[in-house]
Amino acid sequence: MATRRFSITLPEDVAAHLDTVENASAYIAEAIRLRMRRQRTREMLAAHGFTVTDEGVARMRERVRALEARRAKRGRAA
Amino acid sequence: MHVQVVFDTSALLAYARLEDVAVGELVATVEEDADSTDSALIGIPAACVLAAYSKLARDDRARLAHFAVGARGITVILPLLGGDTLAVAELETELGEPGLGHAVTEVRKHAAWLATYAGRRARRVLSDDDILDL
Repeated sequence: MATRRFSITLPEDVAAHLDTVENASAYIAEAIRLRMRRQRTREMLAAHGFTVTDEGVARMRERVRALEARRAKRGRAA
Repeated sequence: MHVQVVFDTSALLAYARLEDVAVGELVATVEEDADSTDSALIGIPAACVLAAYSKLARDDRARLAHFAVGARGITVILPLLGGDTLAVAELETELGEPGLGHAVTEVRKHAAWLATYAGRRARRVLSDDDILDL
């Protein structure tokens, strides 16, 4: 895959975290791809006619996390 | 490939018909909580697509088609494999809900959970912790 070199400026706390990762370029690329994917998902939902709100997603996230927590507990008990 | 959640026929119909914003909120939640770009796909069993498609109006079919096969990296069609066919047929007969047998089979295969409006029927063969009622 073709690559380009960038010079960027970051807040100190972000830069400090980046100092701890093994491959900063790959780490940043993955973070940006995740952001792009999330944006594409919201765009797809809007194009399909869904009016999804942050509040609604937050409520659903709570339900999903509760379900995942019960499943993890079951997995540990097994 | 990591399938986190499986949508059954009832969830696909609700998505395609825009019947309930909860199904859209679930799509956003699964995607936004992913911790890497190759995680947290929404699995769509082929039998559920077949069952839903025939019940939909033309515009709703287009929405389902784009969601199921045009949303790369968000959803993945889960094929019905030859070796699973008879077991799925048995489940379909037992549950009496077209596509639900295949959805249950994929939930088990991927250690995923089921998103459905048919939770009562699904609980006949799945644990409560394997089902998210929409």
